[in-house]
Amino acid sequence: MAIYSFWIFDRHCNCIFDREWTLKAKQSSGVVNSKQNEDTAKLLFGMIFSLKSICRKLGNEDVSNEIRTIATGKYRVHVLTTASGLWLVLLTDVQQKNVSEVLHHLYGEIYVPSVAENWLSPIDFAEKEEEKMGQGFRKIQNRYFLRAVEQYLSPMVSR
Amino acid sequence: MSAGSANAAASSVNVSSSTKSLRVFGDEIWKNKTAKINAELFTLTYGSIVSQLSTDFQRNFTKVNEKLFAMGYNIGTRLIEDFLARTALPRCENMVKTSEVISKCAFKIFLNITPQVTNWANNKEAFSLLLDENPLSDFVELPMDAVKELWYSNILCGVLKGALEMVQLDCDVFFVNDVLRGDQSTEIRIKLNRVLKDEIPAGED
Amino acid sequence: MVMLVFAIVNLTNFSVFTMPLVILELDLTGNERYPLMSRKIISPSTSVGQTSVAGTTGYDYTIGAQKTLPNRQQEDPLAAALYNHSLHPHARRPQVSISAYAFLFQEMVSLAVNTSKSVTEIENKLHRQGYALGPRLLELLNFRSSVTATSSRALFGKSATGPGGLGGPLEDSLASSITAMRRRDLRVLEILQFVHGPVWTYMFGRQGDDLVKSSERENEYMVVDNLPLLTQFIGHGNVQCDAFVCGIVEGILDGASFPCKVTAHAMPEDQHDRRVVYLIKFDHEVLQREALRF
Repeated sequence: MAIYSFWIFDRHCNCIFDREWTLKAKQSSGVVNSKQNEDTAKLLFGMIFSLKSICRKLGNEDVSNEIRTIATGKYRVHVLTTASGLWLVLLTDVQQKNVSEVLHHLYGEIYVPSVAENWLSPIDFAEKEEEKMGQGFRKIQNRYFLRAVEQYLSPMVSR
Repeated sequence: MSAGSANAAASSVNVSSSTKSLRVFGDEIWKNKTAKINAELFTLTYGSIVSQLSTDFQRNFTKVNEKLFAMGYNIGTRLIEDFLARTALPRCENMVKTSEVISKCAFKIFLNITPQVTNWANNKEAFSLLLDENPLSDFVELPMDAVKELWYSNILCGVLKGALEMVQLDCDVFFVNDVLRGDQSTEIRIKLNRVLKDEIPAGED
Repeated sequence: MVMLVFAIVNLTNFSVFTMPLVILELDLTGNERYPLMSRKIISPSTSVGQTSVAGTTGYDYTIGAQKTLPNRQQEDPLAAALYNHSLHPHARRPQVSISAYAFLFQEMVSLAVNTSKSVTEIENKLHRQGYALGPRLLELLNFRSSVTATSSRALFGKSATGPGGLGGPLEDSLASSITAMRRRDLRVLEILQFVHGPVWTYMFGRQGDDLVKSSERENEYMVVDNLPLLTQFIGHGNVQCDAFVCGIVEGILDGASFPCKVTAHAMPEDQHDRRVVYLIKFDHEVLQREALRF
């Protein structure tokens, strides 16, 4: 299994966390919450967002029809969307058909205890009105979360 | 009241299959996936919070109500994530479904009670929760000066308000009755104002 | 005799049964320490004789036992649950989820944080809120452990006659069916074991992990908890949120006439990185009394 990157988007369409791994020499190095990923984040969000709206148009509008995975020739995008408007996005190699358990673990066992249940961490990362609608820049900084993500995903990173 | 209950019974017929499974679903999560703690400690801790607020606001119970609501709202916006992580439920199609999820799953999972859903408005956008038991207010008798003004468990309204807003339901949530004030029942009213739209990135339509 | 019996029942009812009510009223007078009147009154004996008190309470043998607290009209079910059932040791022990508690607890902490200027002030606030629970838990747990099997039947049987008519008119009140209150703890070790055992089990579902006497100072003892239940979701910060539990313990010990100071100290060890030691420093007078032979 290879994991390329992990992203979280909040209800304000902002990317509040990103982690990208480089796979050289099976080392789990890479970047966390990096500046140069901002454009990629926007494009990734846009892609999923557009696909979501198309899905809704093609299907019956009343029944929820969520995107789960998007496959390309080289990689696969896995998406977990919650009723509260959070998206967790994981990019893996193309063989991984279903990583929903991984995504659920990231949400239920890592995000919820270290962000939602942690009063020292904000829950809404857009502090002002003008940081909403995809205009925000704040990221999850809390070290419990960062460490837990690292511990959980690193073993899966290398091929 | 009785007409309202009949109404609720009628309305729950069309969701009855899911209603039943929701109850089983909620029970299952409570039994197997929930770490628990002595409810009395919870009751006493809440009691000490309310009494602290009563002192802080010099027994201005209107302010105490507001503060409890605000604390609840804050909790609700976070609690919803915990709830969704444990249930993995999608958004509800309508308020009838929402009411079932609140009563049979949310209250069950967090407080181990299942309030009755009743008193539906004709447009099916407002309903009441009747709390036969209330773990926040066991042991409680209100002192004379609080009995008219204080909604002792007002934090619950805040929690519901906050949590519902996070799934894009803008609701009014308030206490109508409370046995602590001498009423026959403890009743929370939930009234849908509107369904909020998901945000879209600036520049899109 | 008859009047004395009633005085006992009334006061125990008042001090134990209506807990938050007392909290609210206590705060009216500022947060001074809570005089434990009932403890003194209970201690001689709580046995309720078979003395007939019929005339004074409206007992009518053609009807059977009635709710009997004087000056109390027909009790509603709410009050019955409040004053009797909730006290019973074998009653359904309800539970709530830990996350519900954690949310409430964190909101309480942030309330203290937002209204305080210093870390000490925050901890004092939490400590005081815990302290208010202490004397109540002391009474409640003692009371529950005094209820015997026979008296449980008296309450839950709910039959008009009851077992042998014991307690006569006070039949529906649990207090009346207690033949003897649990002996109060007189020695330091006894009360510490009470805290480490029953109190910890009541609050956290298990005993404390260790009970240690300081080798350096005569008046210091420690209760060790490897994984504090209430604060497990809270990161290690400057604020010691276990001050709340310290308050509870101090309230219990003060209430039992073992005046002391209780503080919490994070002391991680091997497997247990959240390990907390509750340090109990008894006042000098406790040791003096302990030295007496009686």
